[in-house]
Amino acid sequence: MSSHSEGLVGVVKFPGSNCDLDSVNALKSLGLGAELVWHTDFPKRIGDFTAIYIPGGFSYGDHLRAGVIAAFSPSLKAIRDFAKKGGRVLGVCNGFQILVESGLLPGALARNDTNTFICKWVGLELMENVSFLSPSTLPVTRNPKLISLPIANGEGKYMADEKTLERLKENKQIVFTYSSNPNGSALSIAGICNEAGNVVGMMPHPERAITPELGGTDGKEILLRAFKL
Amino acid sequence: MLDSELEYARKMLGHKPNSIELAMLDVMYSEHCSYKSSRPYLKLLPAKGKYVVVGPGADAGVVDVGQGWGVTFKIESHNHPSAIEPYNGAATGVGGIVRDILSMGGFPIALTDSLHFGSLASAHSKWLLKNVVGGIADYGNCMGIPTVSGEVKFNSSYESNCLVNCGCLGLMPLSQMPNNKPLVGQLIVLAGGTTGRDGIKGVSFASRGLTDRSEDDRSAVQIADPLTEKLITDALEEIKKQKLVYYQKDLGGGGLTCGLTESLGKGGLGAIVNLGRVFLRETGMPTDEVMVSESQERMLLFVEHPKLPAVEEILKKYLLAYAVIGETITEPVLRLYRNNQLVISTNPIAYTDVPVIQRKEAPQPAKAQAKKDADNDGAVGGFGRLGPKLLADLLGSQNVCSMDWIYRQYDHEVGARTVGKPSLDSALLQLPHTMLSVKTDSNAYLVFHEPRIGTMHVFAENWRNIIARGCLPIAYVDNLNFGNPEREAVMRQFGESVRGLVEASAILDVPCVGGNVSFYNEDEKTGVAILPNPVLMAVGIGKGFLPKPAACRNGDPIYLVNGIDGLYSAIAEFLGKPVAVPAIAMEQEKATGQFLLGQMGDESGKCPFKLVHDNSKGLGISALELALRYGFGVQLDTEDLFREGGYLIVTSQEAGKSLISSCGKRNIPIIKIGEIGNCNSISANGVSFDWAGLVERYNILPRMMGYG
Repeated sequence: MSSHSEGLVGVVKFPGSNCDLDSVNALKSLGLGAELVWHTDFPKRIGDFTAIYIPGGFSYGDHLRAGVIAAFSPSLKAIRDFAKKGGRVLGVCNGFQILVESGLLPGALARNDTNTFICKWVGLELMENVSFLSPSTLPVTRNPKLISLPIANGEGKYMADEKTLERLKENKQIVFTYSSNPNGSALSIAGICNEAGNVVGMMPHPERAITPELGGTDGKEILLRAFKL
Repeated sequence: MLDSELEYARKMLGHKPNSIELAMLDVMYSEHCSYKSSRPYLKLLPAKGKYVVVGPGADAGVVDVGQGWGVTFKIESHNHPSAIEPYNGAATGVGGIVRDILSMGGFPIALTDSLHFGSLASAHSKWLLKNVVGGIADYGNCMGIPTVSGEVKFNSSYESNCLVNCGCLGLMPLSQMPNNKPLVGQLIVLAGGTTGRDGIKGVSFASRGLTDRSEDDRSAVQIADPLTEKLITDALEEIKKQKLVYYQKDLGGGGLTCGLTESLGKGGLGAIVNLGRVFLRETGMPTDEVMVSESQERMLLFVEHPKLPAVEEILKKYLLAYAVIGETITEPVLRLYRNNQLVISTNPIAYTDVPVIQRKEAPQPAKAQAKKDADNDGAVGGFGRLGPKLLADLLGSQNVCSMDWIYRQYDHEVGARTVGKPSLDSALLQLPHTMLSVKTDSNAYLVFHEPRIGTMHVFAENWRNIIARGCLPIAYVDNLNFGNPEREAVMRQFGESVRGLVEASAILDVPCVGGNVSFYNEDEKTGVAILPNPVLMAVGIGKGFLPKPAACRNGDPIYLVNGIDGLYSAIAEFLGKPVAVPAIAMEQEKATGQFLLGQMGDESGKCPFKLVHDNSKGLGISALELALRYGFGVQLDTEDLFREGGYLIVTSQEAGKSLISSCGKRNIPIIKIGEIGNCNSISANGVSFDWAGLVERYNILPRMMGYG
C-alpha cells in the first residue's frame, strides 16, 4: 500500500475510459501519488485514496447517453459516499458527464450545437467559486483570470433549467466559463461544482496541458491545486 | 475464381471442393486477400534497413526506434465499403487497421487517413465526406486513438469510387512482441465481437468494380463497434505484459477462413475447430457464412493450455465474449466440426498459397501528345508566369483550403503525445525517448500524368514532410489504389508506379515495411478508373522541430530551398490542365533533407530556423498557409508563384546569410521569395490581398458542407 502522507489519487477506469493513462501519467509527472483502479475494484479500495479522479473517454461506448451507464456502476455508490464525507472528486470530460448522470452534480451535458465532435484549445475564465479550484487557491495572476485548455467532446453542451442555473450563480458553483462559447453551453459553462465545493466537473482536459510542447501548462496548476495535500 | 485457379485448388486439396470450401476459396483467391496480381511487383520494393524488425508480409511492419521500443504501422484501404455505406465503411476501416496493429502487439497511439472524393460541388461527395469523417471520428475518438495526420482531396474521378485509406501506428516494448506463428497443441480462442451476417464476403466485393447494383451489396459492409475494440485493446495490453498469448491474429478480410488458414499456414500446422462454439449474432447461419463473415472486432488468440485460465480471467474482466473453438494439431489439415459432425477436412495451404497471375502491362503509352499539350501550356499559359491574382482562388479551392473543420472532429490530442498537431506538414508525437513523425500523403494528379516519376515526387514529398518536423524518415508503408488490373493500361500505371517507389526508396534509404493494394477502383458501367493513387505513410524519428511563430519578426526573410523547376501540380489540377512532370533529383533531395536535419538538430548552437514548411501546393500558397496559420503578414516578391517542391524556411536576416552560404557550399538551390510583414498585410509581387477575404476563402470548407 502506498504511503498516504503524500496523498493518493484514485483514478477510476470504466470499460471505455481512454484518458485514464494520460491522467495517471500527468498526476505522477507532477509528483502526485496516483493509482489506476478498475471500476469493479474501486468500492473495496476507496479507503486507500485521499481524492478521486474520474478521467475522460467513452465509458461503455457512450451507449444510450454519455456517462449514464457508468453512473449505475457500484463504484459510483462508493464515490457518492466518499463525496458525502467531504472527499474531493474531480471529473473531467466523460468524468463530468458521469458526475452529472449520477446526480453528484446538477444539470446535463448534451450534444454540441455544432452537431460535431470538437477538439481544440479554448480560453476559459476561472470564476469566483466555492470549489477547491477557486481563484484564491489557484495562483492565476493574469487578469481577467484567463487560462487555456483543450476540449475534446461531442456532448459537452452544459444545460440546466433556469432555477438550477440561478442557483449555480448564486452559490458560486460555476468554476469555469468559456471565453468564446464553442458549443452552446448555458451561461457558457465549462465546469461546475457541487454546493459544498468538493465535487468538480469540467469538460476541458487539464491532463493534456502540462508541458509547453503539448500546447500549454495551465492544466498543471489545476491538478496540483486539486490533489496536492 | 479462374478455371485454372479452381484446378490448382482441387489439386492442392486432393479433392473437388465442396460448397463450403468453394466459399472459402472464393474469398482467399480474391485480389484483396491474395495479392495475386501485385505480388510479383511488391517483392521488388526494398524492404531491408537497419531499423526494420518486421518487413512486408506480416499484419503490420515493425521498426526499431531505439531503447527497446518498437513502432508498428500499416495502412489499408476500405474504399468499396465506404462508397456504399460511408459511415460504417470508414469506421470499420479504422477498426480493421487497428486490429492489424494489435496483432503485432502494438498499443495503438495514432491514426492517419487519406481520403479522396469526387468534386465537392456534388451532393453525393458531400454526403460521403460527412459520413466518412463521422465514421472515422466516432471510431477513433471512442477508442482514444488520436487521428493526427492525413489528407482529404477531391477529383471527379473519385465520384463513384471514393478512397478511404486508414493508417494506424502502435507502440510497444520489442520484448513484448508476440511470436509470428502458432505451435502445435495450442488452444484457439476466439474473442470479441459476435459473428453475424455483416461483411459476408466483403473481400470479394472489394475485388470487383462498383456497379449501379452495388447498393444491393450493403450486407458486404461490416458494422462498427468501437467499444468492443477498445476493450480488446485494453485486455491485450494486460495479456501482453504477462505473456499469456503465444500468437495472435485479427479477423479482418476473409474472416475465420483467412485467420485460421493464414495462421496454420505460417506454422505448417493443422487444427481441429468446433464451429458450434463460435458465438453467433443470429440463428440459422450456414457453415460457409460462419467461415466467411467479416464481422468486426474479433481476434484469434493461440494459447498454451496452462495459460488459458489467466487469459479467460482478463477477457471476463473486460466483458469480452470468447470461446475456445479449437486446438492446433501436427497434421497440416483443418478439420471443421459442427454439431459433432465433421463438415470439412481441408488443406490450409490451398487457401494461402494462391498462384500469381502474370498481368500484362500496356506498352509505353502514346503520351507524346499529352506532354506536348502540357509543354505548350507551360510555354503559352505558362504556369510559371501566372499572376498573383489566382492565388486567392487557388487558396479557396477544394484541394487547397484548410481542413480544420475535419480534423477538429477528430480527438487528435488524446494520449497526450501530440506535440505537432495536424495542420501543416507531418504530425509529431512525443515517445518516451524520441520524437516520432508520421505523414500520410499522395499526389494522384502527378501520378496520372507520369506514374513512375509522379510516384517519386510523392515519395519525396512524404520525405520532406517528415524532415520539416525535424525527423529522419526511417520506413514507410503504401496503399496502392488503382483501377482494374485486368486492363493493361492500369497494369502499366501500377508497374510504373511501383518502379518509381523502388527507385525513390533505394536512394532515400527508406524501406517499405508493408502495405495494401486496392484494385478495381473503377466504375464497372463506364469502365472509368480513378486517378491512380499510391498513398504513402512514412514515419521518422529524431529530435523534432516545432515552428516558432512567436519568434518571427517583420523583415525576416522567407526562402525557398531546393524548389523543383517546372513542378506545378496544384495549380494545374485547379485549372484542369494537363501537367508535365519534371524529373526529380533524388540524391539532391536526400542531401537537402540531411543538411536541414543537421541544422535543426545542431547540438552546439541553436537551430537557426523559425519556420520550416514543405512546399507542396506552390510557394505562394505555402507562404499564405504560414501567414494565415500563424497570423502574420507576408510580402512575396518572386517569379514563379505556383512552383512546387522544396521547403519554405523563415530565419532571422542574420541567420539567413549563413544559410545562403551553407546551401551554396553544398550546391543546394536557395532563393529569397519574400519577407515576413506587418500583421494582416499580404501582398505578392505588388498585388495586395484583403486579409479577411483570404481568411474567409481559406476556411471555406464548413460553409461548403453546410455548417456555419
